[in-house]
Formats: sequence, structure tokens, C-alpha cells
Amino acid sequence: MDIFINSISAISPVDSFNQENLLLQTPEMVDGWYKCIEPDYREIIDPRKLRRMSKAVKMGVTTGLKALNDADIANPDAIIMGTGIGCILDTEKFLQQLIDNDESLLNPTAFIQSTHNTVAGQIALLIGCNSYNFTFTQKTHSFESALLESKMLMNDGEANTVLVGGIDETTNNTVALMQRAACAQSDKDAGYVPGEGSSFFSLSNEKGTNNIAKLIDVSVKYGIDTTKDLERALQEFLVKNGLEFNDIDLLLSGNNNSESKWYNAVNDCLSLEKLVISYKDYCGEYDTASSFAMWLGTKLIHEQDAQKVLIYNTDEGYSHSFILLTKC
Amino acid sequence: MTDKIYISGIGIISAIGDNIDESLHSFANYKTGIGSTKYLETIHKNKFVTGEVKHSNTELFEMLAIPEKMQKKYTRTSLIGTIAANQAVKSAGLAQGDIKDAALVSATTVGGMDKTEKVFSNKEQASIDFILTHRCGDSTDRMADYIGLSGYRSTLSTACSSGTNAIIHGVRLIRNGLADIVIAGGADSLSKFTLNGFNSLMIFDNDFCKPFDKNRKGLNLGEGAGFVVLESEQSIKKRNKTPLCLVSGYANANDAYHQTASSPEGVGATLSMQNALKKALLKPDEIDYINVHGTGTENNDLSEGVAIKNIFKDNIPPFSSIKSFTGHTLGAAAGIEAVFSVLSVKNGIIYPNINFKDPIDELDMVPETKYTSDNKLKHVLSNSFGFGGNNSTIIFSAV
Amino acid sequence: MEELKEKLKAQLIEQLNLEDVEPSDIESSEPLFGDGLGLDSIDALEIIVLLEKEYSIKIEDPKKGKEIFASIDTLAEFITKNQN
Repeated sequence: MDIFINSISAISPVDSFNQENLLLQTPEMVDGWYKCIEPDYREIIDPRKLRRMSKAVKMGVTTGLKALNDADIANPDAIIMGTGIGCILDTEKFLQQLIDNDESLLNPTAFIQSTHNTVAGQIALLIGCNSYNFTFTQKTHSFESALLESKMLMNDGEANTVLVGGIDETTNNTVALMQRAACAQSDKDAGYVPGEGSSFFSLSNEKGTNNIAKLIDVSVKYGIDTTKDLERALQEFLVKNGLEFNDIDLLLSGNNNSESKWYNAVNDCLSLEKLVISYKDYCGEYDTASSFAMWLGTKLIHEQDAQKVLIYNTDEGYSHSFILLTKC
Repeated sequence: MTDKIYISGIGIISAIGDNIDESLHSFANYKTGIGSTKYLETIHKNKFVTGEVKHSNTELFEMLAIPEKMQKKYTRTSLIGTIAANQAVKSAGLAQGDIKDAALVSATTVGGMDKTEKVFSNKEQASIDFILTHRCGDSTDRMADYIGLSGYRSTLSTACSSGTNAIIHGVRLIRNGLADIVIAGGADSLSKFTLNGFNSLMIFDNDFCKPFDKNRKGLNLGEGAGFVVLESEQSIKKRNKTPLCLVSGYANANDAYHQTASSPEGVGATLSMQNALKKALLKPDEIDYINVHGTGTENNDLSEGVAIKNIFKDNIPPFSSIKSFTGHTLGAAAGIEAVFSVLSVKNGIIYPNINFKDPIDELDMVPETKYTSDNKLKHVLSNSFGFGGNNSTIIFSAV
Repeated sequence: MEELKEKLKAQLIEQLNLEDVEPSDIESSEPLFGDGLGLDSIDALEIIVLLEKEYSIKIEDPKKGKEIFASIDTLAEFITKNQN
């Protein structure tokens, strides 16, 4: 079954939300990480409903609603999300209060909003959507799981339209903790810049004039021990979709300056003339950064001349993910 | 549903036992696992009863024979999850090669929160390992690594319906040819975070919870893990196994009413039951037993009861909630209840809804309060509902 | 009493994060829930925390909140009656 992307919307450290045409600039680093450039939410969401929403919820609801609106979908057959760390701002808020107040006099709002499925639930609540509503959280391939579920749901004949998205927010505290953990593991600077973002897509199984790109496949692999195994896994993924290494004309690489042998191996598989973009230069490193890559890939297919785009990401070799997009 | 998806193994640990036999023994003897809080460090120890797994982390490490240098990678959630997943794998009689290529789909609401709490009380000195165990997906990775699984894995986090959604994702992986065997379920340990969170919502019963009772006051929290092994028909034949039951229908719907409360009309719950029946090609009168979500909160039980009436009208099958035994185990609840539903189909067991006295006025529905086995239960329906309006239903059927 | 009412309005705006609402926008007699200010059950829980924190008044049963929190008037009356 063919799956089409009909609309995209992203809030990211580059000004992606209001952009008519793609213009990538290096984001500004604040406190050592890339913060999202956020729109004026009050123009988009009823201020009375806005009052309880943390950053992740605001970003998610805003991009989710825009993706639906741009695809002219009032009520999708499914809302499927991925988030690696969830609503960390409210989680930290409740946790800190719990410790500071010694488990008493705690405000319920932060607890309620800390749940991983807050964003998907809020979108459903705002548009009155009674359909399928899933939230995945599997570290760096939370978004890939959401994409896979969307694809399978359509294959199973249970949905014709799906709103799918990836979202992660971060905080100074989380950045500091994660950096400490990364440094301790590698005995040196983490090397990468942390980031955050929210990217949503309207998917449809119907060919039409509003299709802007095609989602061909998504795959996540574990247990890959060598770069040879990785090459083989990539080749299998492409062959399964009727392609060879040479067919890919754009690689969106999750390389985050960590000198990884895995990213180099994928670069080497695809010939050197092909364009490679290290997408985390624009969105920073975060668990669902591949959803920003899918936003970028779709944009490059729709507005520029990219034909077949491969998105590759790895969690330092523990897991590897491929997403394949093409022109319609 | 045309493709047959079988269940070939089950594993469980909760307040009522470390395995299937102990759990069934507790049910048969009306012995609840809920009681005073022993292991969770909290100032509310003497205020709220909880359904704790009756072991310290040290004992859990021993049960799994995890060497000391590896222990820092585990949280209580990943420990109990590993115990249940490992049991499920053994009960299905999977060979090392089968496990390696299998997929694992878990469910949790707070994952490694017990350790994150330690990080937050002393950020400067916090152990690096406890930082890395925070994300929910980490508990799933630990389970996979322990049982020797190197295939696809994922984690669902849709509050208290997470476990059923994990099984649904697993079923799809098989239907779509991406796996032959999937281990699916959920794991959640008690944490100060959830205990204080639910306390701030004022939905605890300080005494034992009373699902579907007129005078119910709220829920008791619990912890545990439950996993099933899902398997394709082809794989069952190849391994020459007799399956325990079939997954015949499932559905997820959203109530879209309120962030935490269920609608008075039970819109989402009605939809999820209706769609699951449709998927299973079953009529309501073919359901022999319902394992209800039945948390014991005023709102859930009333809303769920209304939804059951919407579907089954005057012909409501026997139903009961096991939460007065295990407590509400959140992300693990649906995994645990899947295991018990499979046993209902396999051994005809109806679980007693203890602490029930009088029916809710608006419903006049009386749950089963006696433990009975060898009933003829061909189709068993299990409900799981969560925050964010998330409603899931799954139907297990005799082979 | 009037002073307490004004204080309560400011506290509600702050605690419930009522963006764009000024104390003068809240009529002391108007309903806080439903049609009036549009508060809901989560806000009721927040007000319970506020009462305990700021006025040392404990409400054990959230259902009781409905009448007490009907308006700024009823809330102020309840606080005056229950303090000390």
C-alpha cells in the first residue's frame, strides 16, 4: 500500500513553523543547547486552554493542529506519537516539588501533564477525536515506532488518515544530567549540541493532488555488531523496497559530530556525489530528532529536487533506524 | 479477524505472587496482596495501603541472578519486568534462536522513576547510571538484553491502558510479517512520584479499594509486571506447540472528554468494546466473562458500567475486577490482566471481586465475588482505560 | 472580608495561571466553575492545595469543594468561618 504525506508542520530551533520556503540557518545556542523558536501560541490556541500546557504540549498541539488543518482533515482516523523523554518539564516540576515539600502540598496539574500521552490526548480533546490514540516511548526510535504503527494500521485497513508526530522538549537540568552521563561514558566532551522540537505529519493512503511526498518504509534494527552488518541491513532494507545504494540521492544523517563509525559506514555505502546533510546541525540532538529529519526530507522533496531520501540515525550503535521517503 | 494470532506463553509477578501458581493460589484463597507499605520509602507509609511486590530489590536481583556489576543498570521496573518476561519466554518453551529474532513490546508509565527520584534529591552527586535509566524505553532494553532478544522492541506509554496497546502493537508486527514471535505486556514499579501524584488527585481509598461498590472511595496503587508471548500460526506449527488461546479482537478509542476523568456516557469505553467485538466478529452475547478495568474510583466504575450497559444491554456477562487483589498497577495493569484473562479462557477461571457489598445505584450491576474454575469461557473481554481519554479493549478466545 | 476577596482573586489568577484575567475581571458573586470563569475539577484540586498552603484549611473530601468554591463570596465566607 502507498502512504502519502499530505502536510507537515514543525517547531524547531530553526524557524521552521512560519517558513514558507526552506531556509536553513544555524540555530543560536543558548545555555549550551538549541532551544525551539516558538510562535505566539495565543494566536493558535484558546488562551483559556493554554494555561495548563507546558512547552511540549503547546508545541505538540500547535504543530499537530496545523498539520491537520493544512491537509484539510477535521478528524483523523488515528493520532500516533513518539516521545523519548516525555513531558520532562512537568515531570521535573512535580519531582522537585515532591522533594522540596517533603511529599506534601503538591499541585496536581504538573503530575497530570507529566504523562507521556498528554500531547496526543490533548489534540484528541481539542478536536473531539474519538479514534485510535497511541504514544510510543522507545528512546531514540520513539518516532520510528509511531511511524511503523501508522503504516501497519493503514495496512490493516483500520485507518485512511493518520496524524503522526515526534516530540521532545528539554530543560537546562536535563541537558546538564544527560551531558554528565555522556561525558562519563566516553571520557570526553559529549561533542554534540542537545536540542528539542515537535514535527507532525498528515498521512493518507489516497493518491491525490495534495500529496507532497511518499513514505515508503521505516525500519529499526538491533544486534548489529559490525559496520559490515550495518551495510547488509541497509542493503536489505533498500532491496526490499526495490532500490539500490545508488538510487538514494539525499542522505539525512543523524551524525552529531561524535566521530561515529556507523555514520561513516552509511556515508561510504552511498556514493560520494550524493548529498549528505547532518540534520542535527539544525535541530540538535534529541530522541525524536528523526521526525525533524522527516520534516526536512519532505520539504526538500516537495520544494526542491530531491527524489529518494534516506534518513539514518543510530544510538551509538545500540539501535539503527532507516526511514525512506520519495517523490510521489 | 482472519489471521490467527496465538498466545503461547505467560509470565507474571505482582503483589499476589511471584508466578502463575502463587497468583492463582491467592485468588482461590481470597488473599489480597494489598497491605501496609514496606519497601517504598515514603512519608505516606502508614497512610496508604499499596500492592507491593513482596521483595526488596536485593531479593529481585537474586531471583534473576544478576551479577553485582550489572545491577546498577536496573531499576525496580526493569527488574520485575524482566522476571515476568523471562517467565513468559520459558512458559512458551522458546529456544534461544526463537528469542533472538523475536520482538519485545513493553508498557510503562514511569519506567525508572524510582531511580530518578534519587537523582533529583542529590543532582550533583547522582549516579550516572540512574540518569541513563530514566527513559521508559530503557526498562524494555534491559528486559531484551537479559532474555537474549536482539530484534525490534518498543514501549507504549498511554497511562493505564498502555499494556493492551503494547499487545496490539505486537499483534500488528506479526500480522504485517515483521515478527513471528512477540513478547508483549507491561511493567511498572511503585514510586514516590506516582504515589504522590495520585494523592494530589485525591483518588485514593485509604482503606482497601472496592471496585464497583456503591461506597467505593478510590483506588489503591500496586506494582507488578505481566507479559504474554504472541505467536503466528506458522510459528506455532513449526514449533509444534499447543497454544493457550487466541487474540481474537482488540481496539483503542479516545474518550475526548477530559484530561483525567471519563465521560458520564462512557463514550470512549463503549467505542473500544464495540470495535473490539467487530474485529473479533463476535456479538455481545458471545462474550462469557469480562475482566473490567474497575479501579474503584467513583468516576471509572460508573463510566465503565454505563459503557458495559451500552454494549450488553440487559444481558451482561459475569464480570469482575482483580484490582482489589493487585492494586492498580498502571502501565502494567493491562499486561497483568491479559495474563489472568488468558488463564480464564484456558482454565475457565472467574476471579472474585473482593470487598464488593452493594451495587452502584445508577447501575445495579453485581460483579462475581466467588472464585470458580472449570467454567466454560470461550471468549473473555478485558478493558483497560487511562488518562488522556485512552480506552483499550482486547478479546481472548479459546483455540 | 473585601480585602480577603481581592487577595483570593489574585491568588486564584496566579495559582491557576489564568492568563489575560485581571482581579477586576472577576465578579465576587459570579460562578467560578462552568459558565463563569470556566474552572474545572482539576482547578478545584488546585484550590484545595491553595487553601491548605495559604490558609491552613484542610478539605479531605474533594466533593465538598463544589459548594465552597461556588464563587469568591462563598470561598471567602468559608475561609473566614474556618480560620482559627
